[in-house]
Amino acid sequence: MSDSKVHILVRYEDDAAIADCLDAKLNEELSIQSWGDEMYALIENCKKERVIVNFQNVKFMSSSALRVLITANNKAKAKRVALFLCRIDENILEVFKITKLDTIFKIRPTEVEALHSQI
Amino acid sequence: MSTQSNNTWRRVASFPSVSGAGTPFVEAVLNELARRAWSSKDLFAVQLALEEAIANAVEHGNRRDPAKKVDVSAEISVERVLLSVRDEGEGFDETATPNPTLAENLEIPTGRGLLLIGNFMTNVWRGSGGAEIFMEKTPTSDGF
Repeated sequence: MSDSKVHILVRYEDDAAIADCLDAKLNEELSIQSWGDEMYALIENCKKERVIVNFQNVKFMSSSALRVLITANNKAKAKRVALFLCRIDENILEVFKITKLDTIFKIRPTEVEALHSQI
Repeated sequence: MSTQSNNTWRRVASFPSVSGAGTPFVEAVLNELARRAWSSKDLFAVQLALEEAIANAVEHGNRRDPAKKVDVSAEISVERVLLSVRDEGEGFDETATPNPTLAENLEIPTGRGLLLIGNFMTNVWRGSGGAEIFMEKTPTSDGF
């Protein structure tokens, strides 16, 4: 089951698909499921070399959202797409550091840096 | 139900094991902490710990059985917030869960809730044979 809202908006620039996360909080089960479905579909159908997920709007994230991101990262690796995360809130970045997920994700401060990072 | 005495705010609640049922309790705790001017970082920490504990109680303790209840309590004073979350499960042995920060476990999607609770709260301990978790946090200058 999932909700009917849109959770990401996708833009294309150079070799990248850029997904803007629209939710301020990624902590409700149904929303996370829908967000995950959108993220997985983006990666599965991606014709670009990189996918950049922009978290500018996101101020809270539960471990269920991390579960989606790890699954998305595994799918991206299988498809040889480089997954970048950017504009992560300071509190959420702490979550990545505590879990050491900052060591497996390509995290960049800005979208521009994610666009120009080496794959 | 909430009470207030000697500048200590207390609330207890019980709700079924369904998604989102604990949200009003979480919001009440956060509103009270915000009223007491706790920092946004501390609010983030408390919300994360409380939501992870409730999610664990619903998913692992009560196996998403809506007939089973999750009991929660909060006590907020000048010095600290003390939270408890209890499920109707058989208890939980934390030592039996793999360490999610080990290199071989980093790409496993699940199993990070307890790690986050332990890092974001000041003290964490268990009761009721492992079916209840107590979480204490004192306000900090930098929020962590």
